[in-house]
Amino acid sequence: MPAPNDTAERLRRLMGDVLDEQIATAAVTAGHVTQAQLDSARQEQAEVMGEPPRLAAILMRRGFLDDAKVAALETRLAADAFVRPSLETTAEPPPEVRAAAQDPARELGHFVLVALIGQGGTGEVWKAWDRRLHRWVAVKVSTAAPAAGSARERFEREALAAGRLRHPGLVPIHEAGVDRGRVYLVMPLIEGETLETARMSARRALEVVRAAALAIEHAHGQGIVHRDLKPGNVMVDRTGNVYVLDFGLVCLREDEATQLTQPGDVLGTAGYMSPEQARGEAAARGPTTDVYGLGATLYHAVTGAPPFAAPTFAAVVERVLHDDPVPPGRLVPDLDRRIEAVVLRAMDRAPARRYPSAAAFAADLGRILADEEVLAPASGVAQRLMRLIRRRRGAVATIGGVVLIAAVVASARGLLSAERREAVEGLRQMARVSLESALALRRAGDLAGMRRLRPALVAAYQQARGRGAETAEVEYLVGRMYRALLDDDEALSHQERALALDPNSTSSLYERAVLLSARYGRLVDTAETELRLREGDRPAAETAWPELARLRDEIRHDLARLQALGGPPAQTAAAQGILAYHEHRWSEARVQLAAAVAAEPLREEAWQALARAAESERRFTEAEATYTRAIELDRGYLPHAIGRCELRRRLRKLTEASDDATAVLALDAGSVEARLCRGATRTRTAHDEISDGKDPTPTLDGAQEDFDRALAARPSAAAHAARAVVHRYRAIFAERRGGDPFPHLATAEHDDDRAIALDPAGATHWASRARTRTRRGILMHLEGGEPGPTFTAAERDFAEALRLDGNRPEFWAWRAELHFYRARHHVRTGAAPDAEFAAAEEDMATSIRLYSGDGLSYVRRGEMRTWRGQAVADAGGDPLPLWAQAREDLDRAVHDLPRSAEAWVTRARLLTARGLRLGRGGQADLATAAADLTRALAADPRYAEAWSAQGHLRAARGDRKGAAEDLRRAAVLKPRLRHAGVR
Amino acid sequence: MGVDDTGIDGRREFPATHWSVIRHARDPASPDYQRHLQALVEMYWKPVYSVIRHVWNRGNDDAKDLAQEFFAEVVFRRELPRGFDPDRGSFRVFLRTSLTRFMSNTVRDARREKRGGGQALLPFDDDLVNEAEPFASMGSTAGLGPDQAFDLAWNRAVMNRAVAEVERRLAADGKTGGFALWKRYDLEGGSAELSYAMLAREFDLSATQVKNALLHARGTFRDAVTDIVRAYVDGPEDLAEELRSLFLR
Repeated sequence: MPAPNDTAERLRRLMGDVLDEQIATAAVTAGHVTQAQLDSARQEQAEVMGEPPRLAAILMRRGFLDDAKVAALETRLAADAFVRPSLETTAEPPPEVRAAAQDPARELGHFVLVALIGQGGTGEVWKAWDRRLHRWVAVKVSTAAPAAGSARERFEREALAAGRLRHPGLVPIHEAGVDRGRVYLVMPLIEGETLETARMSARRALEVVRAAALAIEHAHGQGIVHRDLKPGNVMVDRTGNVYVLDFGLVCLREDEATQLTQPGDVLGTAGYMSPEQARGEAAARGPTTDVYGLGATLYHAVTGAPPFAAPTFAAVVERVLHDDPVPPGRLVPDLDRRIEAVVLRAMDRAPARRYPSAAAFAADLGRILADEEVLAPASGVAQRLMRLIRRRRGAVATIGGVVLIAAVVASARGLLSAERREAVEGLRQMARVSLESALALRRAGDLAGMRRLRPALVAAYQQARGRGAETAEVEYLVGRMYRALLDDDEALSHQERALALDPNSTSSLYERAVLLSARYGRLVDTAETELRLREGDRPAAETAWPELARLRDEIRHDLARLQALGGPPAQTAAAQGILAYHEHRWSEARVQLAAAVAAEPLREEAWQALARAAESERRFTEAEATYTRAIELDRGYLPHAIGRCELRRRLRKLTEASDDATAVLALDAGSVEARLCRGATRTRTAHDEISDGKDPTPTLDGAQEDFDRALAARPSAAAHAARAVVHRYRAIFAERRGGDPFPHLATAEHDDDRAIALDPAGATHWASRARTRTRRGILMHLEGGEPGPTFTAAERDFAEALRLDGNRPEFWAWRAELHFYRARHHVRTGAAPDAEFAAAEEDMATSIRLYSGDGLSYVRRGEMRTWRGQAVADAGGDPLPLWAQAREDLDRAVHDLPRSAEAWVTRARLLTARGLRLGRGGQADLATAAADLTRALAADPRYAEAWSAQGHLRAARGDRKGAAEDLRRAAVLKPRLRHAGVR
Repeated sequence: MGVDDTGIDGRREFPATHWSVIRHARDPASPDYQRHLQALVEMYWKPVYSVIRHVWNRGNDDAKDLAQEFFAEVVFRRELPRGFDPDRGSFRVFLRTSLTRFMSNTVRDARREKRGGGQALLPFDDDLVNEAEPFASMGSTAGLGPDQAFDLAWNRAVMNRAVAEVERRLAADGKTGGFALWKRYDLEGGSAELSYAMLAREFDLSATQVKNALLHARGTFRDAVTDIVRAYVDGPEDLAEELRSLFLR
């Protein structure tokens, strides 16, 4: 009984409903939605006639859920389903289970203990196989003395009560048991890493500990206290879910006193124990004990060390009882002070001074994550800026301090009036503080916060100028500040002014070189894309674009002068490296810049030049890794992410490239560079989609939106040209799907027009419009229309493109295509095609000359000459001279591409045509053709065209049986060939 | 239940995931790799065949040959050894992409042959490998694009398997009646016409019993579908994505 289609579809919807229900329920459990809200959504669903909406959709529309939350719930449910054992598993247990089962000591109830995965003061944790349910589980076996009688019953009851807690962050307990005097608990096996060993950023640590705190809060609500919180009990699984482990295991312990006598292995636990626990007080059973444990866990997570460490157990307890922990900020100098405040409050020795609940602790962590003030310490708004700076103090001091001191020294000459001096001093202070703040905020990825500093800077600058303080130092400081704020143009104009006031200002010379170098880098990216250069081919780019060469000379000039003047030492290594890069001494540049960033990891310009130098040496993996490292250090320095996007785009890592641009846009929605990079990435993705037979429309929509927005922000010829490609792709796709490509070509042409209007000297834009028009003409020809005027317009564009830049082989090849199709149109209409064939050939010849040694070009020209010869023959002329030339091309092609079946087949077809024409004198051609086809089939035995060509050849030579066999094989490989048949 | 039995024997186990074994295999020659691949291919031969047959309009024998060629040459020999694009997460998406490309090439090659009268010219486009090849007509019979048609056929295969699996699981739990009830309500009934009360009369149960039995059967159905899908994805994220794209869009 085959299931009718509508049943399958009905079941598909049923499954959707069931999943939707599951998600909605999980949303309630996760606390996103209340039961009442869900019920109300259900009611709305029930009232809709026809196809009812999904619950998740209703809840999203009402603002209780969003895409991210739903996705998280789905992933979580999937993770649960993924670890759930299949009910019908009848498989043999895994081999390691069979091996372990040989040892009777590994048998525990219906479990086989397979691998020891953890060991603590109260027991061992094993990865175990559940023989009854055929699944992996975690079994915790107590090392405490076996409980007996009513004590054992109480243990089971309490363990199961704790184990029945239902919360995504709490691991349920499947069962508790006693076997041969060993007490054990069975839990799902969760594979992940605990905070004891996991390395993560402070921010991620906050998120993890906050999630643990929320789980703890849930347990507290049920009257259950963990009492053994420590990094080893907080686990993050592979999908990022956070679990608190060992919940309820407290009841496995006989009492706190026994635990205190445990040797060695409880040391780890002792370091996280609250003072009241260490004293064995009754207060140790309250929720604030867990707050302490959470604080101590966070302490470890951000510092990598336990709050109290000592060589012996007794010494640890002693310290827990009497010492305050070393403030985390002292161990990690750039730690956010708010984190320190929260940790210290949670770990206060007096339970009453701690957060009253795990929820309150979690709330403060949430505030840090949202970049709000915490409740932990008393805090004044006035302190905020300084705190901000302190947060990143260690990092900022190196660069900001040194640069500013250098600037002050450099401009200490010249007398100033008292008032002017005061204004300069004020600005200096201002610039110093705001530069540090700006860099700290930027490195943390807070660009909005960073930009808020700009008005103050502008005001201070105007005030200084208003008091007549026009000094090189002022201009330098303001310019440096603008560079930090990512406004390179503004920065450059201030440094130019500084250098006009003091041509020997080393700081400004350095700054100008750095700014010009960044501009050079952006221009190189554009040049490589537009000129289709090999990635990292700087010399070729500089030759093609004089602007690049000019920039390079300016940079070298500044840096050479800087060397002569002896700038501040901190800059020297970076400056030398950047100079080496611009002098094309790349490996030297890499060595110097690597040393520079090792000494000063926060010098972004050195990272950038390092990545570029690696690109120039075609060490792309290294370049990418360099960008990645630089981005980690300075999240908000957008040129790094844009540089990586461009690199990855050109390396065809399209997904990653697009992600980079998206990340930049999340920080700065107005970034034109990111729009252009993502748009180009998407365009390329669409190209691949079309090649793969997929619908590229959504991708093209995305690309178009990027270009639209880039153009809205800053009209440019490059963006128009890029958008024209998007439209051309739409046209190509429409063609394939039987749609109407002409409107897309019209839009493409409009963008081509705009690009030409904005940059009439850009050869690429003319060539682009020529291509658009050629394509339109070809379509008109294929549809039986009259392409004449369109081809003529295309030809005019080609002429202009080639006048502007006659050295681009692809322009010539494209024009050859135009002539070739015009010739074919003439063949159809009965006009003389030969002149067009000749023009096509000539253009191909030029393209080949410029692009020396491309076998494919010879294949193409050889094929064009074959066609041309056939046209001559059809008109009663002599094709042989042309076919002789075709032969030369194809000889060259098979020589250059000896493994290309296509090249061999193309030559074989020429030789077959010629051999047949020559009649008896053509035997040699036919024999060579046969040999060519043998070569083709050796290169690719599944190349149907080769079998087909061989079949036709054999038929022509009278081998009907062989021909039939060849054609049959061709038809098997490509069934459509069957219809071609033997003529 | 004799639901369309290509590759279904109703007894096969669900190992953790066939696809992850294949995807991360170091040694494609290992018997383990072959076994997992075989299991997936048996299961999903049918959707591939039916898409070639109905979307690409091939005759029965032709479609079988092409499906055979697709698996033997394209999947086993060419695509799988080439490694994976992380975007093609599941086996379904992998097969679908590969099949579309394979069939487009087949059509293109055939057409090129036709247009050039046996003397094909190379396509002349640096932007795209091949020129205009409208395949809309190919898919027009079903009114669906190849991707949609493929997913439809895929869903059919998954659902056929799931129904057999629900029956088996409920029977193993001694709940044969539960299956009959579920089949009546969710497979045949079209829930609009059938009330719990009517079912209760028909099966001689209380309305509450009907409700509970249906709830249980639907849970079993959900687990069965999830297990089937799980076998051809790589991990929980992929599972979530696959469930979303198959059932929630």
